[in-house]
Amino acid sequence: MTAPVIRAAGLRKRFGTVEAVRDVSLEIRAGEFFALLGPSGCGKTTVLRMLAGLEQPDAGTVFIDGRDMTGEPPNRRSVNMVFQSYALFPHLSARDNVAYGLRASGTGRAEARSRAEETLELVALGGYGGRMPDQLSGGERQRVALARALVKRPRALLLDEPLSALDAPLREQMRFELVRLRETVGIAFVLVTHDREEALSMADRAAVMEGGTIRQTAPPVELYERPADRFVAGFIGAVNLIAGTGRQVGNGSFEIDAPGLGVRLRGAEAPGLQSGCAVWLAVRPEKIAITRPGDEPSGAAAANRLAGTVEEVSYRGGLSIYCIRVGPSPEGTVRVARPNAGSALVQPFTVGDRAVLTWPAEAGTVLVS
Amino acid sequence: MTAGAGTGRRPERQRGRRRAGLLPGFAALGSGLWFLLFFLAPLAFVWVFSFGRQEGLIDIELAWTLDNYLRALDPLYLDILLRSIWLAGLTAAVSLALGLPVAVGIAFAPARWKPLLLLLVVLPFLTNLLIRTYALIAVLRTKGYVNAVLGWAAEWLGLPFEPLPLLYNDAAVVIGLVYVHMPFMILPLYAALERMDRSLVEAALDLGASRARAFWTVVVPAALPGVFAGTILVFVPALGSYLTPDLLGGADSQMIANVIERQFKRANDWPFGAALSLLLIYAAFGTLALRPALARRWRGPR
Repeated sequence: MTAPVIRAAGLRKRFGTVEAVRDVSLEIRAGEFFALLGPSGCGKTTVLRMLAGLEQPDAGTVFIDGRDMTGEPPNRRSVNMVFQSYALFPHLSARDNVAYGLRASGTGRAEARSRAEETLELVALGGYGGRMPDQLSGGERQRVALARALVKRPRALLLDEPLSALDAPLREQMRFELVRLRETVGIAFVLVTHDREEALSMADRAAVMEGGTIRQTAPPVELYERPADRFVAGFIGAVNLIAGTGRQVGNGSFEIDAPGLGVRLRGAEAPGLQSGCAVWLAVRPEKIAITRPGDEPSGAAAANRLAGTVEEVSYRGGLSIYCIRVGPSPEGTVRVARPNAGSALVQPFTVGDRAVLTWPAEAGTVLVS
Repeated sequence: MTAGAGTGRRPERQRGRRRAGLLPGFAALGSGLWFLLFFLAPLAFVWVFSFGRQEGLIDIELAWTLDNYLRALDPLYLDILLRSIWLAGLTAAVSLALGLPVAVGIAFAPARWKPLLLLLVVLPFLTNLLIRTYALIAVLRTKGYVNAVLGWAAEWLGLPFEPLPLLYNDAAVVIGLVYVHMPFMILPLYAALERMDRSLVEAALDLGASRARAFWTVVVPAALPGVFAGTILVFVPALGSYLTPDLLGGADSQMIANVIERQFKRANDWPFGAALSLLLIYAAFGTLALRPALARRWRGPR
């Protein structure tokens, strides 16, 4: 295993009375696409700025390439940043913007220019070198900002919400281009975003932040399938959370007494679970099968079974969301997502229908916090 | 809403629009009249006088002569005009050199300090120019505060001390003009810097620039529109300043406005004073015309 490109340990940062970052540690491996994901105000941008040296941590250390860079100014760090506003120098042409970093570190004018042109070609902006920033579209400015940060061949590229200023179709396209670009240049990308789709679709690994701490660091699939806590489960995607009391049963699964529903449910066993503690069963809406009474599957696919009444049907194009009332309490509804594989003109379930919900044990994750 | 209600309302709305259209017209007429009566008309008189000839004590003969302008080109007066341009230029340069750090300091200060700092910049305006100039005399004169402090410092260090001649020379005029006009430099510089995206500086540092390099390659270009505006806002009034050179200047550091004043008063030669005034106005207009040209040039190729 190679040494991490960036390693941060115990980072803390306070702005006035606000503790923006509390004890954040992370490792970014060589060449990986890493995402820092979280709602606004969770401290993700502050972490990125501390990696770049634009913010000094109150406590903790930042290692870049194994060297302690804590306290070093940004111009001494071999990482470069793409700013949310792009921060292109308005008085310089695209080429001179890209060449800026090379000129600042003493590269000759001619070489800086030719390398700037090469890098502009890398981001598909060959021939745009003479344009001024205000003559470029949003997407083109974004590429110039990328080229400017890449031209110095940094050990890692730090991207602060790089796609948030673009409109939706362009954003989609830039996602693919960023992934392709990372594969071309082969350096680590650290992406800060509040958009879970962005993180899930681009990142090799993502850290979910909330309230200044990292809740979970894992590959996107794991974040989605095995969230560490209720916050991660809910932030990464829609989820049903069923509260109950846990009980170890010893055959690879874990039983939950859900008093609100008056039933016993089974979820995948996770380490650290103990009998008798308060737990939540997290089940994604699309993992639940909805059938008419009597048509439900049997066996392992129906390890969990709830019966109820359809309370709400919400058509979303490719799929429909059903809200099923399964218990009397206010939380006693379960959301089910069902793909509209056939014609959706006639919905198989309408409000008031009786329905049976089933899902296998491994579809649910048992959470203790 | 029915179609009937819509058509019923339309004429009313049109009347309203016409009334709204007249109001700015009246306002423009008012300010136009003001401009005509108190600016263009006196200026026209001065312009006409500049082609006249002084006859006796109060009469001016309209001779349509260029004698006054030719006389203004006399080395004696041309010299004073050129020196005025030099002193005003020097004032603008010193104001820029001193004002830029102040403007940068205010622009990058914590937000809650900015209103206070800006107030401090314009605070001198709350006092009459004459009083401020007399105060400067107290500061600069041979036994003034500057020489007193320098004297104490020299005594403490055991050095011989000769009071500096700070008053009644060109340096005193420039000090006075810089003091009076500094806010006109600081405010446009501040406005330009305030508009600058702060992440530009961070981007420069992130790309490996030192703080000095980031300042010269990012902050200064961002301040350039303010530099042009401030330089002109300082240069033009400094060029025509009268009180400061009169009170702080020596016998040979008078500026063109002092000469003009003398023509209108002691020399009682209004036509010649008018000609000099117009030359000053043309110089000021010429400077103002430089601004768009400079701004275009420095914005780079379009």
